[in-house]
Amino acid sequence: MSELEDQHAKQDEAQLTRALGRRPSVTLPAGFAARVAAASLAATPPRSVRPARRHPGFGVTVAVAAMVLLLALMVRFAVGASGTLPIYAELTLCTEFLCLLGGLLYLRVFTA
Amino acid sequence: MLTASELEQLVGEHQAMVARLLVRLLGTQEGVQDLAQECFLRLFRGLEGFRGEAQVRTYLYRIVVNVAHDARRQRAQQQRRTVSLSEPLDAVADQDGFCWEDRLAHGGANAEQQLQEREFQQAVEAAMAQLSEPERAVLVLYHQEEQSYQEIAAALALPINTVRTHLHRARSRLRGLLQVEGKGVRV
Repeated sequence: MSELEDQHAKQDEAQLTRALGRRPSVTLPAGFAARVAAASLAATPPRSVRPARRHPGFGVTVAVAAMVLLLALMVRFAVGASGTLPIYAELTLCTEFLCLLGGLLYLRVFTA
Repeated sequence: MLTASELEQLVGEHQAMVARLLVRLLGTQEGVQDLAQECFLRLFRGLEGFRGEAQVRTYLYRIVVNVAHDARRQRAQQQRRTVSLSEPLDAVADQDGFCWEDRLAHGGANAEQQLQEREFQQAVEAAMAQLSEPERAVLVLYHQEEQSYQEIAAALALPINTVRTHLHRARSRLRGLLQVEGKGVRV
């Protein structure tokens, strides 16, 4: 490339860069910022301080009550059982029920 | 949560940038005010997780690019459905208020030179409308808003190398389009 062509290419690049760097002159109306701020506040719903408390459903209450009754029944069977193996089996089942009941109550209390 | 006066201050600081970016990305001033308002509404909805001026600005760049993208798509759909009565870019550019301010001083340029510059500017804008959206966004953010590769990459959620590629390709395509038009670039 000759020196003249090189110079022209540089000039063209500079012209293109200058054109791309020019900023369009845009004027927004006075009070635009205030209007947008007001519209934003109006569009944002007020936030409650605490999340609304969820009431447990009827089914969950019935399930917990049924589990408590079943647990009482199993404890009763464990007391009345004669052999060693049935007593341990009943107690193991009671422990499992207690764990399940505890888990359910934890879910109801802390994740509601 | 920000108060009304803080929101107003935030809008005041960025409104000029948002408006000129929208004009440049859309190629018209039509509806810019409403779109700028939409940009700020989107900003305020997602503002809580942001700290610091730089991050807000970067986030705002991304919002403006997305809003411009949505507006272009919407307008294209409307144009497909109805016969367009909108004016071409050249005509829009001649309207009052749609002028270009020089950041470089014109040292005593005569009328002919100014006319050539104006024609060249219009040709560049028309050529830019033919670029893809990522190319146009990268080009505008780099040249007009003087953002670095890293800042553009953060704003557009693109890898830096992709930003470089878009920028290089956009300039090459612009040069090609201008050569076809016979504007500016010496052929």
